[in-house]
Amino acid sequence: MMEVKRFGEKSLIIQFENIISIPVHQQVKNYYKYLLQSSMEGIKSISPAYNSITLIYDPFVTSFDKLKLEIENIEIDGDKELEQKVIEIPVCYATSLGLDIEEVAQSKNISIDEIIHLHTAPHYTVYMLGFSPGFMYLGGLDPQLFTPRKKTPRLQIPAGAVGLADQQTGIYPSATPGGWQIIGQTPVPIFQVNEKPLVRMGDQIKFKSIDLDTFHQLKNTK
Amino acid sequence: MSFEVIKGGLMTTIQDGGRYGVQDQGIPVSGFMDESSAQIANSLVGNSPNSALLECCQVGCTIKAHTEFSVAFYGAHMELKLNNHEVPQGKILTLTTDDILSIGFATKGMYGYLAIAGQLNLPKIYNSYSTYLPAKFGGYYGKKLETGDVVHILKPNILSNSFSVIKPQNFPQHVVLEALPGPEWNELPKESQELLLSTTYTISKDINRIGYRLEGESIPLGNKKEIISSGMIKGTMQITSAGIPIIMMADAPTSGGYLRALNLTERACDQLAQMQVGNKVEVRMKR
Repeated sequence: MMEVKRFGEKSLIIQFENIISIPVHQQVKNYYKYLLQSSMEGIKSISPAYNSITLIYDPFVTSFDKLKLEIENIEIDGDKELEQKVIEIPVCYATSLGLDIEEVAQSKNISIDEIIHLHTAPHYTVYMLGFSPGFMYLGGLDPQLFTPRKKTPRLQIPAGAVGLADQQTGIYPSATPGGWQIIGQTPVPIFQVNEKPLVRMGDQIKFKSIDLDTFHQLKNTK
Repeated sequence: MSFEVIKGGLMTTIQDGGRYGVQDQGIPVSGFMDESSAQIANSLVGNSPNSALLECCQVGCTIKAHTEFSVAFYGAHMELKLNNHEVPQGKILTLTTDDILSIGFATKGMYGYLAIAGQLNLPKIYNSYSTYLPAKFGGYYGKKLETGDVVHILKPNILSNSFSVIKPQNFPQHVVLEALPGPEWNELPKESQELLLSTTYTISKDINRIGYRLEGESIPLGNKKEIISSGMIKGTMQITSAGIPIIMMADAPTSGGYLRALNLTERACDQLAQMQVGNKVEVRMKR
C-alpha cells in the first residue's frame, strides 16, 4: 500500500501503511534506497520516516504530477536482499553517567546488571533519523524496560547520553534539555558536522557495555 | 578584504537558500526566513538569488568596512545609516575602507537582509552557508555575529550606482495567510477545520527560526491526536495535542508527531516571518 500525496508547494509525501512494523520499515527502506540511487530529476531532499518518505523537489525542474507518476511506477526488486549493517555502540552504564539507572532499577525491582543485560541484548532497528541532527528512532526495546519519561525534564543532558522514554530507547547526539531517563553514556560521537554519518535509516544498532576506564580511554581518543 | 562586526545586533546570522540533501540525517534545511526579501537583496547587488548574506532579526548589526565593496539591504524597516547619515533600503550602497554601516531596530517587519556584492569567504557545511544555531554549525562558525568578528569577502564587487531602487515593502499588522491542506487535514473534525479557518490568531512571544506559535482559539482534535513521526517542512502547521497551532519555519525539525493540518504557501511563509509579536493572522485555503 502506497500513496503519493501533495505536501505544500514543492514537497510530497509517499505514505505507506499507517503502522510501525518491520515489513513497512522494509518497504520504506527499499523506496528510500531506490530514490537515493535513482536518476529522477529535481529531487532536493529525501527524508524517510517510520511509514513515510518526504521529498522536497525543485519546481523549476520537475512537478508534483511528474514525480507522482514516476514514484508510482517504481518497481522494487523484492528479491534483492539489502545489506544489513550492524553498528556496535559502546555504552558505559556506571551510575556516574547513567544518572537514572538506579531509579529505573528500583522502580522495576530488578538489578542494574539486569537492565544492562536487557538493554545490550537486542539488535535495534534504526527506523529513522529526525528531530535533531543525528537523532535515531530505534525499535526493538525489551518491554521490561518500557519507562515513563521524567516528570520534569533536565535542563541539560550531555551529548552521548543513552536514555529510555516510554517504548523507546535512544542516544542524545548533542547536549540538550530533555525528559528521558538516562541509563548510560557513549563515548563515541554520534553526530559530527560534515562527517559521514555513523548510522543511516535501516541500519541495526547493538549496544555494548563498557566500564568507566574504557569510557574515558575511548572518549580521549576521539 | 573583509568587514568587521562592530555590533552584532539581536541575532544576525549568515543564511543562504538552504541546506538540502541531508534531511535523512535529521538536519534541518535552515536558510532565509523571508526568502523573497533575501533574494531581492541578493539580486540588487548582482549575486545569484540564493547566495549567502547577513540576516538581521529585529535589531540589526553595525559593520565597518576594511575594503571597498557594494551592499544592498532589503526587508524589515530597519533604520539604515552609512557613517551616521540615513540611507535608503532597496538600493546599491558602496562602502569604502573605514565606512560604518549601521542597521537599527525594526519598526515594521522582523527580518532584514544585507547582501554583499561578491562572495563571503566562509566554509560550506553540507553544501550550504546557512547558520543552524541549535547545533552550532554553518554560517560564521556556527554562531551569530558578534562584536569583533571579521568576515572575509572573496572577490568583493564595486557596483556603479544604478538608478534602480526597489521600494520598501508594506508590512500590515493583520495578514491573511494562504495555505494548502496538510497530510492530516481530513483527520480534523469539520467544525475544527472551520474554526481554524475563521479564527483571527495573534502572533505569540514564542516565535523564532524554528517555529511560530499562534494564540487564539484552540482547535479540538478528533480521535487522532498524534501521528507516527513523519516529515515536516517549512510552512507546516502542526496542531499540538492541546490544540495549539504551531507553524514550522526555516529551522524546522525534519520530523514531528503532531497532526499536520496545513502547509502555508511560500509567499505566506515570507509574510509570517515578517510578523511581529501581537500582530494578527488568519489562514485561508489557497484556491
